[in-house]
Amino acid sequence: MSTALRRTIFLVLLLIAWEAGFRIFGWGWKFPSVTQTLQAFYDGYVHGELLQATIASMIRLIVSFVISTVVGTTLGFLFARYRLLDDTIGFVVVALQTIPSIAWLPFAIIWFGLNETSVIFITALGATWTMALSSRTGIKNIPPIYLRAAQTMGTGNGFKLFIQVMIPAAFPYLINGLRTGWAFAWRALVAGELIAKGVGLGQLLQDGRNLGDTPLMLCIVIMIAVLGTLSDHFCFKRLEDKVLERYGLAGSKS
Amino acid sequence: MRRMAWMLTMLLIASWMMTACGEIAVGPNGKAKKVRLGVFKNVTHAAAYIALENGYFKQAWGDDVEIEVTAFDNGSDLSIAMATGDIDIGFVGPGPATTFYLKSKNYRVVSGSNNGGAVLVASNGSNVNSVKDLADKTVAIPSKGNTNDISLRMLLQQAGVPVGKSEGSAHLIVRSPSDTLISFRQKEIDAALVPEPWGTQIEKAGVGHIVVDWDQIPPNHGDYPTVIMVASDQFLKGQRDMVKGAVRANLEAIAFMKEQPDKSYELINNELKKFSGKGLDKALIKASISRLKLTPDIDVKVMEEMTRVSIDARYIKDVRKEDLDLSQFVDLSLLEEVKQGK
Repeated sequence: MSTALRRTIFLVLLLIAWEAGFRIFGWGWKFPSVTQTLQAFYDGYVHGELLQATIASMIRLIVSFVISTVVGTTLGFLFARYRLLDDTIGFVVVALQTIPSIAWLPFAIIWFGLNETSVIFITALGATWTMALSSRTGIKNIPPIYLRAAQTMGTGNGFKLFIQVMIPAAFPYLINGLRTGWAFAWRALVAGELIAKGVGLGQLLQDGRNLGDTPLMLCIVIMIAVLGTLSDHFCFKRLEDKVLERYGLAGSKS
Repeated sequence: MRRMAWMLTMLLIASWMMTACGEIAVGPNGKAKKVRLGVFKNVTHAAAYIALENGYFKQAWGDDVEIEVTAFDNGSDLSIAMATGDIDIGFVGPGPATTFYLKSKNYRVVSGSNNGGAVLVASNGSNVNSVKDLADKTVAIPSKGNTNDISLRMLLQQAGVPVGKSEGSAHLIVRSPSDTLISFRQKEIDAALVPEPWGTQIEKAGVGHIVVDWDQIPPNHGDYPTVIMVASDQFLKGQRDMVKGAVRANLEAIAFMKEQPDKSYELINNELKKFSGKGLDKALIKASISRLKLTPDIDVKVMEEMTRVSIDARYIKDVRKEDLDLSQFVDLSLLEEVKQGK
């Protein structure tokens, strides 16, 4: 049986069990049925703001993700390159990574107000530290011989070396950082949108809660899961596969 | 097979959790040992505060009954607690109470507490002097589907201003009343329809002015229920006399506030301090109370009118306007009995 077939059968069974559970146990409004959820999807796209919220959330996520990738990679590079920075700021970053980024939301609201900037700030913060640490590990693990060879070939010691040698050499680690960073950013984004205001999936989820609209709530939870899976599957997984292939590691993964 | 058994067990546990209901602990005399009471951290819940401070609940229920008070920030949360059986008696706004009742059908309105008490305020720099001026402006409401949201939609409809994102319509956003003052200062919103004391506070802070006073807010010129008393069906079935006691306590509190307004401000402040950590300026409380009508009576027609606005706004999706009937929801028989027994 192929993976796709197995997954399809599993999903169909899950849907049947869900609908049966709803009918047999009488969950009522507390957990919606399959048809109610589908109806909410339909309503959300035809009358409501589901599409708009999805787009708004994705834009916010991508903006924050780009910011955190750039900042994180740069930080990681600096940590790997300069011992002093690694011992000082690098140490702080490890501590910062342990703080759930939503913990910064109250501050963000005071600094930027209850708006877009606050959400982007905490979303970016959610991914930056992970990116910084994985790029640091990636660059530290580059065999010194690569760097020496590159320098002999005239890349110098600065930006050229960074772009042409260090980034490609650290790619496997960077990809890993991107993947976890993306997941962290998603979490921070939804948490931030739940509290701060604006158009977005988290905000819509909050509206659903205020109106007791459980089908809409479930709809959004499913949307988040689907978007997360799709982006991982079509973006990061592909990128990773390509990199593994390029590094001759494609065969090593089972 | 074992895996199947596991999955079934998990499913059973999950469904049990979703249908679980709290049983009422009953004392030897058949009376509940504990009453879980839900109120807001807001001046409009004054009657509940007075009843607590003056011990009217204790008088009605007896000293052996423990009163557990939970203070909520908004009506949706209180209504969720009501619908899931986490509180027995609650003071809440009719908007969210009706929305959640139409889903869970496990609690009832037993009495009113006060009507009105909300105002439309506009920021001083916004050039909003009438409801018509709200076109192309951003207006804040405390939460989607709450009583103030419904009033605002009615106001806008009367003035012929559509609600939406397009040009010429009023843009509605959600801000908790306590954040509204900050939003006014940051020039993020132009106007807000807020319950008291927030309207008075914004006016006193010098950032806004009242555009529509409480007695002009629809429906029914400010004479629409804003705080009502709801009781869970389970509690009502087993402890009808205790619910009646709560109705009586509410009535006594309303009478007290009418007879001795000056004394009540102090008592209200005490409870506010208890719930939100800090009190309010007494003048602010006084101004807020003057903007509402204390009454235990409820007009079901007005509540239905408000619910129809909710249906139009697609806040309630599973009930059609023609089928709406709240006569089951509002049960004023206890109130009548209390009134006659007096």
